[in-house]
Amino acid sequence: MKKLLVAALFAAALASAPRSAWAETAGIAVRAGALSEQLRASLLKEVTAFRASTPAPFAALRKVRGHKPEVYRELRNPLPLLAVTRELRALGPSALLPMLNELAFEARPREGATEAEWGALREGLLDTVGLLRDRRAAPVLLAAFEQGSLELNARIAAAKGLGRLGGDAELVALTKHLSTSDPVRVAALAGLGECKRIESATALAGLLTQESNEAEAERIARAMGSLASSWAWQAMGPDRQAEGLEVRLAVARSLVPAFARLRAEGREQARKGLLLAEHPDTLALIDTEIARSDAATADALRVLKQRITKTLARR
Amino acid sequence: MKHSKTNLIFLIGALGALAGCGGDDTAATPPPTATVGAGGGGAGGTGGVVGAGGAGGAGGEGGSGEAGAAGAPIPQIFADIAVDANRDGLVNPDDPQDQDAEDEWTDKHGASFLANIDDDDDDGVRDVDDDIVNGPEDEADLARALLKASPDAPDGATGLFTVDERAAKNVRIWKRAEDGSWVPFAGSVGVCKGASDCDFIQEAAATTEELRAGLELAIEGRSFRLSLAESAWAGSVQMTWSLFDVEGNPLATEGNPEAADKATMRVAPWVLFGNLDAFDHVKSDSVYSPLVKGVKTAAQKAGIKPTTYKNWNDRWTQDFYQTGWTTIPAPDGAIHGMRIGNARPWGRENGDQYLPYTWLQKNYLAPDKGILKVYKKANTGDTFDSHGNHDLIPPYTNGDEKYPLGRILIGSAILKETKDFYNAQQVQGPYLPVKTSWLVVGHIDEVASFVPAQTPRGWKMLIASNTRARNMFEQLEKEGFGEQPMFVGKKFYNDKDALVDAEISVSETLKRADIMQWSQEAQVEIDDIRETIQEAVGLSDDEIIEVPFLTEAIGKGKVAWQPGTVNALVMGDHIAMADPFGPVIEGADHFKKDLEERLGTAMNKLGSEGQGLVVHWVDDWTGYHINLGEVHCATNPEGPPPAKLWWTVVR
Repeated sequence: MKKLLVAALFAAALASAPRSAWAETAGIAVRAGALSEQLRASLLKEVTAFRASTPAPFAALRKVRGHKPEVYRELRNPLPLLAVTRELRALGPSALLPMLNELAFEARPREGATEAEWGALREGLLDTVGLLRDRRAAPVLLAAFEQGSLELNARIAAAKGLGRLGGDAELVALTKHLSTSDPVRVAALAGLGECKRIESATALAGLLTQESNEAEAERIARAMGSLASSWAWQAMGPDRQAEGLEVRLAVARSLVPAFARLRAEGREQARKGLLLAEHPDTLALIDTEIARSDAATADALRVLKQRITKTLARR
Repeated sequence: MKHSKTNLIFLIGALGALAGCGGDDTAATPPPTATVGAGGGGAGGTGGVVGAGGAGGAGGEGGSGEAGAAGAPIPQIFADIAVDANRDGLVNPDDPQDQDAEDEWTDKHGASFLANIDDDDDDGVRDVDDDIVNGPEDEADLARALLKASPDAPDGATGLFTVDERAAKNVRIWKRAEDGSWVPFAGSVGVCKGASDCDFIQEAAATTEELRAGLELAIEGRSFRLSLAESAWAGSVQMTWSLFDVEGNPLATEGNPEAADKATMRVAPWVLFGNLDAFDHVKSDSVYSPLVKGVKTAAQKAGIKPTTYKNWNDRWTQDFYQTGWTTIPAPDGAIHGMRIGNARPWGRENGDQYLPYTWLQKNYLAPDKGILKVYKKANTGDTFDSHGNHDLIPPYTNGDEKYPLGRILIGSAILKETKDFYNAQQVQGPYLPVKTSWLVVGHIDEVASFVPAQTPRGWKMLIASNTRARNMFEQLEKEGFGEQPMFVGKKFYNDKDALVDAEISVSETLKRADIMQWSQEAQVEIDDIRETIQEAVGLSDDEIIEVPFLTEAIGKGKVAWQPGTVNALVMGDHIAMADPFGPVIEGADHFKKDLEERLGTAMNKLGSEGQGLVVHWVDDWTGYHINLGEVHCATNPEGPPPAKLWWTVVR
């Protein structure tokens, strides 16, 4: 609880950050003044020191040009996001501070980049920073997630990055945007899907239970599937397997009745979520649901059970 | 063209017989038993039509001359259209099989014609787009119809040849002039640039001399059938041939119904090539020499000619055009037709000069090689309209469902006009849709392929498998090979901008939670595709071979993280796959070894004799893999039109 309180204060500090001498410098994703002076100064100090000692990653980042048409037009699907994201990911962990610098302080010259190309660079940077799972990225990801002027895809990338960090502060930041009227709810849901904690499962299950809109249910179920991915949990090592089983069970307990209750895309995504969760109790949960379902729903549940059985057999 | 001369000689001979041996021909027709009286002299108008239409419709009373004399016998006048209704490649008016039911079209009988969209005179213009017949090779692409000679046609009689309006806009019909040349007769006339910018003739008149001599007609389609919608051209031509007296009155009456005839012809469909077809040629871009070298080696071993091209930075040869064929029957059970390149609607640069169709015009269009665009507007559609997202399930029968020419398999979000076109061909459809929108490129060839096998079905399906890849990594780790690296010497961006080594160990891979999550999400989608195809075809599990690689996500979609080996070029008993650059265990690439064992030996009965495929490894990493595609995406094979009788499988 104490951690959550600290996180809330952290978020509040970001929101009320005063403008400072740094306010006029702005990155590609974080507007001037979005970070508190303290956070800004601290991060900038670290960036400056790293640049002085290790300039190569900064130079490498500036050479990234996947968002430019001469590069992305060579891809099989010629979209700037695909080229620039792969290029940014290739930079590796040493590019963290250069990327945070570009996101928060020092955007490169735009050089005629279109909105789509510039947005792709921004989204790619946020995505890549998030995948590095480095806590130093938290203020920048949070600021980007909360910044209303950013396009939704960039905010989704930031939210996923926050989720991957998985701390209390990030959990608070994501869960406070779950109301149906919140403009960034879609991003918050996606972020929770990456936040591998039982609290995420509980929050998402609570939403799904109440949700009758198929499209909204689909988004929630998609996040739950990501959250419960059995392969991801197994990759996280033996120390987290018990937690993983708990999360996967919570997701399965929520998705089985949701599958029975929903009819369209919500049901479809619940099915996929259950296939990702692969919890050992899923088949028993389905049997229980069959016993209390009407004939048509029971038939659909039996098909689901067959599919899960077949999937497990192929593993 | 292969059979043109034989066909032409026969046709000319047949026409000569019609024109020059009228007596024989007449003798072969039913006796002219009609008389004015028998024809209904007393019935007024009917008899009068023959007798004297000039009487202003006053019936028999207005008759004059011989024919008008009540009760006097007059020669029966026949109007006869002959087409190759029996599909033997010949038009024979004396063959009842060409005459009976000539106005119907079924899987048993009915004549067809080609969409004549190749360029036999090699002038850069499709033959059907200009208003001349471009020499003997072009002439050979024109299907024939005969308006049989009516040597007893009375003086001043004329003929009227008509075609329905929709057909007139979509075909050209030529007639053979006295000097042997072809002149426009009906259908579209003039030079056409677009689908509907040509003038057209629905009704064409023939002189008395032409009636008596007969007319040889030649027909070519301006396009294939584009849609099954009632509002669209049905791909057929309803031809009517009617005779008139000197006054312009129809000679066809109740008593003389044979003075009018009709026949139907149908445009041959476009048919998509599939992996099991016999190719003779494969193209790829020259941009990346390791791929060019790898494909060249594999193709030459397979007896196929490899060639390269250079264009405006579109190396995705599979995507910007699609290869197919079209044929009509030729004599001696043969076929006559052409290859067809079908252009994607969009190019990688702005401007019509960068459209795939423009490239096809300059680099593909040739004698016996036609080009086509089915999109309504240039630069529409998106990645899903690349032809890697449009594949062919090889021939199969599943219960009552028979697809002897295979069935078109498409991924998500393809332009409606393209889907309409596929179904309108009626030989490889209805297409089977699967969901590919979860992929960032979005193509079905990223996850599925088909290879020959010595099994009752004759083929098996290759399907991408993240599960198998993960299992292989886990097994290696258990066996103590966790530290073995893969992607050795490879970079995660192109060589020029090499940023970081791609090298990663088996255990590090298994610890990449993101890669594992994305791969599992991809597997769920792949399993859905597998189930859809399996159910449609009736495939058993042992007819499916899993091809291992892991997946990554970018933005909202997925793409192969390890080289996507399923995206392979199949050439007979040879298969060219992306080098997986997998972990080397005891001197052998573990992923290569796995595929060589399951594809390259008799284990799965692959290949024409079940001996296994010859597996060729192609380094596509820098030029293709990191740009989101593999060997299949990089290549496009084609072959001569196969001797498959599409007309027997029309739905």
